[in-house]
Amino acid sequence: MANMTDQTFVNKLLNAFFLSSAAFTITPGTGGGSAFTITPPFHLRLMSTQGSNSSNGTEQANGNGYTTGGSSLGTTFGGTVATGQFSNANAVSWTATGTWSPSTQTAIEIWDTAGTAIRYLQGALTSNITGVANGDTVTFAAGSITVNASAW
Amino acid sequence: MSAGLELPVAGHIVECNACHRKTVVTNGEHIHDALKCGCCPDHSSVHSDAGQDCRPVTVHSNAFVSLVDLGGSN
Repeated sequence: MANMTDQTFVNKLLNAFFLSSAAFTITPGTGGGSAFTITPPFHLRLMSTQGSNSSNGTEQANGNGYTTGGSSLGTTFGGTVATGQFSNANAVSWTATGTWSPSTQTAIEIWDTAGTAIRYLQGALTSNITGVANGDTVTFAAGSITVNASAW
Repeated sequence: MSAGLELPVAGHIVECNACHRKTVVTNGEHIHDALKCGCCPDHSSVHSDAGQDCRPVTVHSNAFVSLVDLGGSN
């Protein structure tokens, strides 16, 4: 059942999940389930192969200016939430110190920074990045990544 | 921005770090082929057959598709 959720509640969920600057734990009710801890800051990871909503992609190889685990999206990941959407509040950049291999990046993923990090979001780039070499910079400006939960 | 380029919404914008000319990268295009502004300090090492490509460059990754598709049947 798509579009089943009150939009104001969606906005509140996004605010709670992605705009907190401190780790917090959601404790299940008496019905069961497991406690769930969200640990910001969130990190942006580049993928050489896109995953899916159920499996991780292949992260860009470590080295030449990219570090496995990606880079921080800042203390607070998102800007203002409206209509079930928000965009990244801070820029993220990598400057290559050598030729990247694999040479093509196709997707991004967003993970938290728990001891065992948890993946939250994934999506394809609108066009691949191909050919990053020494001295090049790949930058995601503030507002360049849109998280859209309006169909919850 | 130089050259009066129009920048469509889709695709990444690649910018020459020397002259700051910008253009849009199409899917799968080598970022050093996107610009041919004559600023390349070492165009013999990268795609010399494609003309004077620019390097280094800055790729402004932008205009992503929405990251979350949780509509479905939840």
